[in-house]
Amino acid sequence: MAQKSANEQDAIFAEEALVVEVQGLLHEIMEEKGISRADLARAMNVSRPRITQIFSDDCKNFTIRLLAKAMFALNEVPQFSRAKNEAIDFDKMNFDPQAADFKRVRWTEVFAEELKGDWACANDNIFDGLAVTRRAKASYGIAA
Amino acid sequence: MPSMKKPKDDSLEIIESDVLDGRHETRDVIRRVMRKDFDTLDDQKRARLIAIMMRWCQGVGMTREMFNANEGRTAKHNKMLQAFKAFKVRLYGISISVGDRRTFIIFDADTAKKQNKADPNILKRAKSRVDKFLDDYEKKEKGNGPEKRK
Repeated sequence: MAQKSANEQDAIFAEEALVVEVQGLLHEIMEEKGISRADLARAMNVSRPRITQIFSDDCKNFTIRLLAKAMFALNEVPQFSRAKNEAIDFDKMNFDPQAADFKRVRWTEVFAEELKGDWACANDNIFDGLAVTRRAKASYGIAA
Repeated sequence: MPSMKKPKDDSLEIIESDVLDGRHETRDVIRRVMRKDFDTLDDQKRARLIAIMMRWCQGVGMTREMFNANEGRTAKHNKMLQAFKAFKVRLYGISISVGDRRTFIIFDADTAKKQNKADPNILKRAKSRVDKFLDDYEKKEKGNGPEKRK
């Protein structure tokens, strides 16, 4: 199995954290209101297995539309907020890959053929929106 | 990826464990002998388990797919075994107070489950590990003198 980069691992952790958070939130509301999964299925006009699917580990086919439907059925209004990922502290970022804390901050590491085997790194915040290889070039001051 | 912090306090040395999640007043720790089992799980399983452990630490509700609060009691110390669950992986442990912090200690894992039902042999082994641990822990605590006991 190919080894995942730290960035890919972070993405998986972020994804699972949100899935667990949403499942936990629905569960809490249902507990609080004494609503069973069968009740929720009826209120949402979906099958009981569909509700089981929402709470499953895979959590497949749990769309935003279905979440909206569930929240409406529970007589709740979802509110979304965001927060800066604590793992990314751009102020403390150092562009030197040899720096001791290089591995501790989140960088986009790319391998670009154009750079003839050199490892390139770029700060997602600065080069946001650029293609990966262009980011790599930009980080080295090469015209994209 | 949440970092696997090294223990900084003596209480974790006494229970020979590493912290898996400890961002709150409570924490989840794993016995060092079990660490390899956890670390070799694939990323998605570890990620979901860590996210579930965070909820345990926060003291918020968990679904029956995430946590089983009753996996039966141990024979000697009558301690309730509990389990974190994700993708058919179960991490068995108990909740006790260690160094003044509510701590979930993981003693055993069923990482190769083929079905939803718990493997009775692993359950039995987990309970026996808990009992043995509590025997040793009590001795260590007594060794520290009554004034240090929590």
